[in-house]
Amino acid sequence: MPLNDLKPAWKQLKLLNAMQHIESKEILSIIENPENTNKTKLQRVLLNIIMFIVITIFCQGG
Amino acid sequence: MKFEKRHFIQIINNNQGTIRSLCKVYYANGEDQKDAFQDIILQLWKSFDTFRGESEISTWIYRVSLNTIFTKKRGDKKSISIEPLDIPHQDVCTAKADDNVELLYIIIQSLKDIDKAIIVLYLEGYRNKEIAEILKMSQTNVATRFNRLKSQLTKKFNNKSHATKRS
Repeated sequence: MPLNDLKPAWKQLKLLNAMQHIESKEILSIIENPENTNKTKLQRVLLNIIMFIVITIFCQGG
Repeated sequence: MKFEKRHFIQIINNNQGTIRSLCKVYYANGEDQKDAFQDIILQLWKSFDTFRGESEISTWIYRVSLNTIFTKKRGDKKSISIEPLDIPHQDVCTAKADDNVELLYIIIQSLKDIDKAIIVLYLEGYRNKEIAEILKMSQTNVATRFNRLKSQLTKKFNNKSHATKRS
């Protein structure tokens, strides 16, 4: 199949992803308070580290 | 709300399909996709003042989005992990899409970062010269990579199509 035949598929993929609506408030929060986004990322990293430590401790037992 | 912000929000709403698709092409994990999406919006906003309309809005969006993703990838080595070629994504893309979309998605995911960008821009309808400008590469480099990719992808696509038909 020629690569050109995949062009409609890319278009369809974009349409499917455009269905996920984004609120204006969400965009405003990203551009006005970028530090909040970084804070959330940091929280997630910390949570992952804590989970990793807990799982490691439990897996060592036995 | 200022006109500038309203205008920006409208642009993002009109082009969020492109931005989200790029995030999904480059990141397999949902949280990483969300992070990338937010980073792209922020970078687009930061460069919004300097966008003078000399190029199409979509071209500007592709340029900033891909630059943001490449910078993010360079600084975040953990995100290099890519799902195996045979495991399809369990999200909206595969749940509702037809076979071609699923195949396109899986095949693109197996490519190197820069090759993904070249293929995506080609599928978007850009010519080699424009792709070279967006990715800041030489036109010859783009042409060489693209020809190699084209045969590689066609081969992969045919293999996948046959495998899908058989199953």
